[in-house]
Amino acid sequence: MKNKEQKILQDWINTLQGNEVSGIDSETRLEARLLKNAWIAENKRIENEIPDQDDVFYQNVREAIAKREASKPSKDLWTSFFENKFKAFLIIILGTGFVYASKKTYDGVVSVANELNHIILAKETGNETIKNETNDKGFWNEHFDKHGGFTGFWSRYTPEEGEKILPVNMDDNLCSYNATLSLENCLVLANQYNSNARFNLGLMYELGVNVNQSYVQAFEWYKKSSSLGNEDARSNMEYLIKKGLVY
Amino acid sequence: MIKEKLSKRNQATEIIQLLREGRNDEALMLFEKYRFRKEFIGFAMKRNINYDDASDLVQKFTIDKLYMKSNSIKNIEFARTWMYRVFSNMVNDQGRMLKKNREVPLDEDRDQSQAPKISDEKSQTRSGCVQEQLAKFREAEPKRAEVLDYILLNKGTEEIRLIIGRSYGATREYMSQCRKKFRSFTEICNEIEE
Repeated sequence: MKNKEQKILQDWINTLQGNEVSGIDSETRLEARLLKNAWIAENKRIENEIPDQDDVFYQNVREAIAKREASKPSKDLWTSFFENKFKAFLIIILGTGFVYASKKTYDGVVSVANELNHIILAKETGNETIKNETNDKGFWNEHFDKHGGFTGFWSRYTPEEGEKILPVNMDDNLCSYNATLSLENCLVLANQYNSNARFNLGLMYELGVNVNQSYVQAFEWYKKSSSLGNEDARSNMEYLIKKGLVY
Repeated sequence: MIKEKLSKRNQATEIIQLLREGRNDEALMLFEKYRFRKEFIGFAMKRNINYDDASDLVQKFTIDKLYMKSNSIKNIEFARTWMYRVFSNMVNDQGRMLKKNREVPLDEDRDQSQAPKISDEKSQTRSGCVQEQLAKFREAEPKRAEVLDYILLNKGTEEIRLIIGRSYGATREYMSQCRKKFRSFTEICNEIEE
């Protein structure tokens, strides 16, 4: 719109709204005044049709509001929580993240525990007495391993100083950690119900020392050893299963 | 005049504030005291809705919109604008519904009592003629007549802009068109001398 038209429009509006106007075109002023008078007359006619006070109207409104308030369900915790969608979304995301992180941490802890439980040292095969397993282990045996490590969460086996992880060839015929792990010698002892010899056989098969590596064979020998009450053999069996090396 | 406009706006804000605080009875009392009921019924009646329907519409507006949706007003300063916009939409919906459900009677059975009285003969006075033309204008151009009402209700361009949902420039243009359109209706009245 041009400036002139804008001015005429503004003057017309000001006249309609009863504001002071200067320099207005007489035709526009008359036009505005006639319209305003017509509008006031129309309003008066309509106002006469409307009663000043309508009690029924307010009674109905009050009843409807009371009804609405009565029918409102009381907000429980979940309703109020999910009213704010953003808050709910944020909490679900954080919750999912926390669960995921916990799962990852738990998996990590379990894998570390498995690694720590895995015994890869051959055992001595001296004179061994077969002990009957008893249910009552006692507090110390139940919560601490033979090295004194706390096993409340998992048993720890850390090699002592001087211990070699792999067997050393000491040129003797025994099937022990400080001797050559020969299959023949170990089988002789294993057939004499020596649990440590059976454990060592399992270890030989697992690591492939002097025999072809076979996890299935290793598992079988561990099983035989654990049947004689060898806890380490049982632990290694669990390791093989958890790692998915057998079954 | 500016004071009056501001106070009217503040009255609506006060009512909404009371409703938000849960003081329904006080809000209803002020709704009557500040003549909002009359104003809205009059607004609906100007759009060819009879008194009973208009009263029902205002009642529905008070319960469904004012009471239920008062929390959804973003800027409470423009509470009166929001009320007009919502009520205007309700009036439009009512008009559409009536139009849809209306069974057109035969000419001889048509009830003339509700229709605005517009005489075909020329009025004796110029102001009478303008009144008749205003009624005709309302029938022919209901949306433009609505904007005229807003101007005459002392609403500023900014407020009208918010109600009709246009930009500032477009609203000014629309107001100018309303004026010109109405002037074309009242041209025949210029021949009458006061």
